[in-house]
Amino acid sequence: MSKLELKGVSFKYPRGKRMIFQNVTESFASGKLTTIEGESGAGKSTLLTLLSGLALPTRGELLMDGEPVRDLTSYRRNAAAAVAQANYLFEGRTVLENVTYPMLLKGLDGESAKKKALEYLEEVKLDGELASHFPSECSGGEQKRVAFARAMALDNPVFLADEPTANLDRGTSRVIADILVSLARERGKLVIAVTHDARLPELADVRLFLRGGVLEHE
Amino acid sequence: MRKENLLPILRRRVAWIALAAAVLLLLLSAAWMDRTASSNRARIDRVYEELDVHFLLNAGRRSLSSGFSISLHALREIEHMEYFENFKCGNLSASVLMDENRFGERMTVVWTCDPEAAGIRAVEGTLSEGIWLPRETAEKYGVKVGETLTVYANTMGIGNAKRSREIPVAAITDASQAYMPEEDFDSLLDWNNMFANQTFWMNDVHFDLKKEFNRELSGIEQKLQAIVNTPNPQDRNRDVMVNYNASEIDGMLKPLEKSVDSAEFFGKLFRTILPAVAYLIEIIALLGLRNEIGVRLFFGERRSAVFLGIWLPSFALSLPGYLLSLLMLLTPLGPHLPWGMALWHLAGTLALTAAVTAFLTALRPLLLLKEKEYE
Repeated sequence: MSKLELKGVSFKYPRGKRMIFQNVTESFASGKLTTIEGESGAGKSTLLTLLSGLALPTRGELLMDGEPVRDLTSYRRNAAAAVAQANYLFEGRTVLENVTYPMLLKGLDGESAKKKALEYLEEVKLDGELASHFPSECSGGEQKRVAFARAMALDNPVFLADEPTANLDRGTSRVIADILVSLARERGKLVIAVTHDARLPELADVRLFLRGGVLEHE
Repeated sequence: MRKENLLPILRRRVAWIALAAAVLLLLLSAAWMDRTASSNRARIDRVYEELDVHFLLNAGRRSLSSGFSISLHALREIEHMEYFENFKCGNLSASVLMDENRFGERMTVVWTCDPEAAGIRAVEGTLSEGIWLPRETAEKYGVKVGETLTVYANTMGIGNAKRSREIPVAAITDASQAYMPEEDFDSLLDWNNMFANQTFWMNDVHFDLKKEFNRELSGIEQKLQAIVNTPNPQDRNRDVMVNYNASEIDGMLKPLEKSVDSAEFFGKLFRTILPAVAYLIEIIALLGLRNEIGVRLFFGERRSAVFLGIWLPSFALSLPGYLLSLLMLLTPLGPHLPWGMALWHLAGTLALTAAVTAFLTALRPLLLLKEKEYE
């Protein structure tokens, strides 16, 4: 069982003038899908940035299993897996290579990584034929699912998604939502999704709202 | 480092485009520089083939006289140099003061460049090999054309014995002095201890440079100047200048030299700019890898691993281009870069790709991945 905590966290961008949020304290548990909603500019993505280990809080602490997170590189590799709104796929790698990358990073041999990558692609409902394509040859929905497969391949206890269903058709949104639910409930991951989509929170175990820099429960 | 993480860089289209651009740039520059150099060389060759160079000996600037003197030996040295032809002299003469004749008198024997211009006419005999005596002298010594005249050299340096020389009389003239043709006159100079006034007075000595020596013009001019700068102690005017038709030659060469200078200037400029452009292409190519670097950092790959994973393939990409340019140095089509400079460029690309990669991998991943989206 993993536990992720925000303890009195405030954040301001290095060149920013205002605090995006202040003194946020919240706890996230594994096996649950948590959604964070809020208006545009409320700081949802920034909060996810902190939870992803891409930046340290200006004040306060991020705790993983009760331990403060200091080494962000190690945290990103071993604790948190994130799917960014822009996907950030490797442009110069095929779909299969994108998905094998995290496993190679963790020391898996090439053949095993390829085999598992194909399984992840199947899990996100992507045709195996797409494996040899480059991201630029894929549709937006396919790119999103590749990003999901790649993040899942990290197999970290925390799974984060930023606007995972934005700009997707209903069918693909449903696939993504199912994956998030499955990751939380079947695989016991700690799943947090920032969303504008009204349907996704309906599937969530915990719904949070970010308003005026404060995180509130439903 | 896993090859799976290296290969994608080598597959990046932007990287190969950058490499192709850099190589193309080198090839074009090589061709351009080679063409310019060949063209200039051909033009220089043509001009040198066409040049007519005339050398002149003049009185130096410090001289108040329009004429000058030079050692006869020096003049003969110049005249017999392989570089020259068409030796011409107008008002030029040299005299040798021969020591005692059988009447105990001294006799001056003269050589002139142009006997006709000097007004020498043979009354008897011909102006051929031998000595040409004035009528009075011939009568005084009692010699006729075809006979020999005995003259003596001063032999004080080798004792009191007198050495004599038999010289055939070739002509009786109406001149006031004894004359000899050039070759006979020169033979007197080889006579030990000849008391000779080996001085020329002249103001018009002219000779042509053989065309095959046109390219050695400046070297030959220096050799001539060195010869005339070593005067005979008896020379009264030691300031002799070597001149050639410089203004005419300059008129042919100056415009060409300007164009050569200009080509060289642009060549140098190009050689300076060329690596800068190649480096710029490398930087742009590396900046094109920001996403690759950002995503790898995003996934928690260590900075050192990301650095090596980007730098090694980037340098490996640059290497063929630079090796090609180094190989081109060995061919006539080469860019004519010195080896040292080419190796500096290679070291430059090694350092530059390392520096830019290190800079990019030191950035926060969010900065590489368009942080604005999060802000």
